Amino acid sequence: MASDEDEEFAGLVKRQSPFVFRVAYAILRNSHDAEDAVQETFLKLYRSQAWRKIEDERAFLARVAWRMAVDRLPKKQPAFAEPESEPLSTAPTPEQEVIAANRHASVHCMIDALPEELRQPLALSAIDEMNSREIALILGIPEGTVRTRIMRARQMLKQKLAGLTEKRYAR
Amino acid sequence: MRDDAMKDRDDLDILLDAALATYADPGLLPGLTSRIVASAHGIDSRRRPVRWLPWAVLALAALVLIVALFTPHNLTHRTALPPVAQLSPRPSVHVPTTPDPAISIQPTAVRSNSPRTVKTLYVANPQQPLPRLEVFPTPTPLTSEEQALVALANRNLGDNTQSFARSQTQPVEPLRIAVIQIPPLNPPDNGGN
Repeated sequence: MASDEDEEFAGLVKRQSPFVFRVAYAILRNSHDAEDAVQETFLKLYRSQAWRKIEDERAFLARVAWRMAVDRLPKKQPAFAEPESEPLSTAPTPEQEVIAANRHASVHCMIDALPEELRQPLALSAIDEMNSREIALILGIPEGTVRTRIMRARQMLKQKLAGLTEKRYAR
Repeated sequence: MRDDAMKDRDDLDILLDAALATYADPGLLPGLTSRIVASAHGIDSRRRPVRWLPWAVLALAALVLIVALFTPHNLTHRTALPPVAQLSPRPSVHVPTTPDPAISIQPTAVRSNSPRTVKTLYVANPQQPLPRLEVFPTPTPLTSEEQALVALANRNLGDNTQSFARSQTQPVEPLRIAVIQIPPLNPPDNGGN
């Protein structure tokens, strides 16, 4: 890695590896699998020398990383998981404080349980404020479809969270 | 009640956005960049030998060619040997006409395709090499029988040559072919065969 080109590649890795890792992690939800996908992404670029001709390196890398991650994704998806307890409770009891501390984890479980066609656009939209046009390029679907799927995913999650909140008011 | 519900809706959006912000951000694994660069370096180091491999193959091929051209075997073939007549007289070497008992030549029966014939081949025992003569045998003078045979062959050859030359000098007379007369066929007698 002594030549200028190799240094340039190392610079690309340092510059974009956090972003690529987040893309892979958003799909795989596992750090080790995500790291493998990131390594595979960069090594594939290095072997093919394609990284020299990249115009929009962020979109290109996100696309390749998404493909790598999807290939590693297990075929069988978990069923929609119900949070076992009320995640929104803000009651000051110690038990509810623990639940409140895990609110994000509970929402993550709900996101994980979404259908893949809804989960992937939603997860990508959370990465570095990626816009719908970039997500459409990564997923290879129209931009309008991306917006529709993100909206549907958010609606499903909010309905689920609202149901839990109504349970809290019903008590 | 409705205000609470609306407030919860806003809270849901906030909660959802906050959860989404952390959904795909587990924190970068330490050393990820260096591991990727090291992997690329490994690929690079494996790839580099390929660059000089063609040159190495060419050099090896050239070396093999040179060795093949200048081996002692080829050199002996290229060296012009003096004619036999110019060789200094060497002591005649007795070449045994009978097989050396030290050499075990074992007759080997080989069955040919024909069921009636069995060919007998003498195959030298590969474990016992053939005798190696120190001096290549020089031609010995012809014996009286051989000289008589050569003279006979030369004389017959001269007679044949002379008769052929004589036949060539004589004029060729035209061939005369008698007229062929074919009598007409007589019809067979009635009642006869």
